[in-house]
Amino acid sequence: MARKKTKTIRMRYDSWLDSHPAMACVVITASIAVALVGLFVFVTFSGFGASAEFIYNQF
Amino acid sequence: MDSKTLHRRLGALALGVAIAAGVVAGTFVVLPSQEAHDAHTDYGYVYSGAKSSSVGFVRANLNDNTLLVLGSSEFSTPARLVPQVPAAIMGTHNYGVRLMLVGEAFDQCLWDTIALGAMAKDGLPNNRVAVIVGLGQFTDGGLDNATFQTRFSRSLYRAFNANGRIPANLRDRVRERLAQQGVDETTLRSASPADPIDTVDATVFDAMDDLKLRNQLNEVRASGIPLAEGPMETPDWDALHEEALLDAERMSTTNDWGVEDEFYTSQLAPALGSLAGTRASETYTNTPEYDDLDLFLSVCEACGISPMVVIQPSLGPYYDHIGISQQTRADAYEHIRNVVASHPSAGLADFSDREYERYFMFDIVHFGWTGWIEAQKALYDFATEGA
Repeated sequence: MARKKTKTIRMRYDSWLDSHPAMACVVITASIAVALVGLFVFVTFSGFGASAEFIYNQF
Repeated sequence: MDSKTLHRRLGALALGVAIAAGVVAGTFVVLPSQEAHDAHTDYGYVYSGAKSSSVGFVRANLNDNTLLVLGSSEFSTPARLVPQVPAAIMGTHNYGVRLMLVGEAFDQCLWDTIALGAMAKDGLPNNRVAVIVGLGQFTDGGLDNATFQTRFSRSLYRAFNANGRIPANLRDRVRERLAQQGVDETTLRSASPADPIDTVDATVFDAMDDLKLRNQLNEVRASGIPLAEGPMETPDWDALHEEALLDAERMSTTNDWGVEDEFYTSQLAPALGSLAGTRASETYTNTPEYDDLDLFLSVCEACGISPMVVIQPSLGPYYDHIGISQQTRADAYEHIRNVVASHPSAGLADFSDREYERYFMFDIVHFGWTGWIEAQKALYDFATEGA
């Protein structure tokens, strides 16, 4: 008996994109926008990579 | 994937980039500019790295009667510990002189040089500036690179380089010192772009620096104090001195050195035993700080600014205790005086002979009750000289 072929997640994703072209464009637009805005906010406002606050030690 | 689908998805990608660019552009519109401030609020006494790094904010808050004062951790002393700090004296009275305190802990002469060059591009009120120095910044070895980099401001250095009054030899000296302190080449090049890649770096870094400062300045704007706008008063320094002595006697009761009680009991007393003699090898000679002070005074001259150097003393009995002799300290003070004397336009307010005066300091390195009164008198006299 032949084994039933199971689709990988990637195959399911590609298939969904092919059958929903408008939704695919929305997903791509939103993903790019969120990624770039997230990167911008993180780099500019998070303070990541900034020097640690230090306690001024008089001794 | 067919060509139509590919084009559609590329279009979606471009739209995503455009939306992100719109959000970034919107941030510039939403955040107040660096110059934004309330005209009836005084921000000159706010202790802040963002304020100190923003040429736009500082310059927007200078008026004809403002004296720019560069310094470091002494500006952080709260009125709760020393009721005579500038915010509580000159900040609450209309003496006809306002102070714009610029600097944070570990800002030393190299930082001061860059800040002065950045802020004096179009001159300063009355073309005067004061700078407060203390022996702590002249210790052997100089300021370590890691600490310096916590205080380096690319924004200030960018503005420094934009000041056409500063000659090339002084710019080169500053750049050399920054490289010695470990500031990377990309940052240095982006502050004075020489090729297209530097220009791209500069554009991106400028925008990010601007947005960071705009964001951080919101906190500064919330920390200002009401501008002292009443009738003009003449300061009665003798009365203020007497009042300072009374406050000091009330706030220093646990020790013979005249140090503030909270600092003495929680920090100084527990450490004294282990600190005895530990700094005996200090010479105050092996440091680039004297050259940096000379550099600062040279940039003042180039910008047409008259500087006054305020020498803040150290607490004599404490430094005797840790093994740095009075002679070693006296030699260091003399070295500072000699550097100042080599610049004819530079004035000096020298408090180095007050190391053993009770209540002049509130801890081991910062002006205390009477110290701040005397320092403010010197700043007031300097600001009003010839006026």
